[in-house]
Amino acid sequence: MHKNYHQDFPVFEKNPELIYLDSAASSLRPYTVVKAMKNYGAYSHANIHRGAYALSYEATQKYEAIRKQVATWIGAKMPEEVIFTQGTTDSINHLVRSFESESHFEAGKKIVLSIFEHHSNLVPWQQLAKKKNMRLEYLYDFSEQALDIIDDQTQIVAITLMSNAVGLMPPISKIIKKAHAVGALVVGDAAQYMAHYPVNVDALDIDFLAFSGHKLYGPTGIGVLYGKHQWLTRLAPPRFGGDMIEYVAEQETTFAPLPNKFEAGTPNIDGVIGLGSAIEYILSNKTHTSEGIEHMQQLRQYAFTELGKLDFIQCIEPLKETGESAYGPIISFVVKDVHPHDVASILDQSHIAIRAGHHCAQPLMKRLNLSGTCRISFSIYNTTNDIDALIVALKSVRRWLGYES
Amino acid sequence: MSLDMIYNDLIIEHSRNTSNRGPLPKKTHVEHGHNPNCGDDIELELNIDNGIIKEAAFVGSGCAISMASTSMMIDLIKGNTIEEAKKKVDAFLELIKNEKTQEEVEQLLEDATLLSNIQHMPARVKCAVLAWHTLKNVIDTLD
Repeated sequence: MHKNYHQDFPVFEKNPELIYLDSAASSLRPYTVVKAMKNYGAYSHANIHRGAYALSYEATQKYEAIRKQVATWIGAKMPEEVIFTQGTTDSINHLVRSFESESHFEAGKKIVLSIFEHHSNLVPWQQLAKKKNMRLEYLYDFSEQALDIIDDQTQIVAITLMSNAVGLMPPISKIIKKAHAVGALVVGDAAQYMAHYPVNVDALDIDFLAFSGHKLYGPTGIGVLYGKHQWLTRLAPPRFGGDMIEYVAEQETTFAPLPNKFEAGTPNIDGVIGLGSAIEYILSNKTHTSEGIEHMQQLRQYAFTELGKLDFIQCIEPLKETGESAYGPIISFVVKDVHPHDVASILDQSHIAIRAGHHCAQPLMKRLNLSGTCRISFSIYNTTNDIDALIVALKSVRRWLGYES
Repeated sequence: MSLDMIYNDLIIEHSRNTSNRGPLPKKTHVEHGHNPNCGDDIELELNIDNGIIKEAAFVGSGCAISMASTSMMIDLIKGNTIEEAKKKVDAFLELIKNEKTQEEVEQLLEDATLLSNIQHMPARVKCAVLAWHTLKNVIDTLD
């Protein structure tokens, strides 16, 4: 029996009719996370580090304990490999900024991305390539032949673990092995993947990984950049300021060791508290377990089957035909003759929240010859009832636009 | 709000109206209008002769609201002087911002006043104003 997860999420108290199918944009927030952040803000807040009083000391303890908690959760070898950022976009931008001043990355060498990247794992690399005169190449599928573009000229492979636009999960282990065989680094965008699947960075042997708190039941404005210790030690700090220094003289500065080197200024302590609580929520519920993943897969399959019964709907599943068909709990679809934004506005009247547009993946949309799609995505609080309601509402969409249903 | 305040027959009819679709054989001005976040993307084509909009059309794609609004606007400005068109653009933008009532602008804007209901769907206001801003860009260069 599926627990009624609605009781964990206060938004349903205020909006009992809400059918939330937009967790890939941001997941809803459980009471426990809201409470942890409120308690910290109300009773325990002080700036961390260097405070010689109990309140500050305790805040520092909490902050650093959550770094350990994250490290353990993602299988990092040491807490110093976990850098707190504002989110996935911020993590990748940090990294790119550090790479800019790294002489290891040379003009003429290659950065390889997949066409499935979110703009946050595309634009920073495109700009780095321009700045360093590196070449930018794309994987359009993940066949052995396609992966051959990862060659001895390749220095960076930046790839999503789950496409936010269509849900596709590239074969990350295979890509990492291929990249390492030619001496390239792998940067993973796990913004979507981490919301549903456990990750062990050590077992994966991935070099860098970025994810956001707000896609996994936490608050916005907090995320993580994981990096292998040897690389984080070597890289120049992406930002300068307080907390990231060792000694500062008028003309020279030496930088703090990890992780502080990467965390200039007062960090988002509230966000870290929320992230810690969100991970606790994950660990004490079935999300990320085999049962939770199975539930997500069932929802996806159910939705896919039900949408398939509507002849005016086309689900977008690129690469399915090549057998590379691992998909997360995200489905993109189009309604015949109806623009995705009209679909979303019409569904909103039935309290159904979906996302419509290019999903910050314009190169992918162009490749698929679509101007945009409707996207539904699932999380722990979704059930087949939500999908049934969606199907009913979808049946009336075309009528609103003057078409026969 | 009831959906039929927006998705009503008249707006739907205009959204599917192809008579204002370009390209124009002869044009003096082409202006690109774009809502990058939602993908509405139009090119407004004008044939302006001696201060009069002789012909107007558009190419591009977008949601029903942006398409209807574009088509309604083109119906309204064909044959207008630049001055008349400018008055209509200003009136429409004021209507959408709720600075003028439907009654105040009805004579100028006719059916397009119906689009004022978009105020009840704030996420879609940008769809309704796209064509009008695009036309305004052209008019501003003519001053």
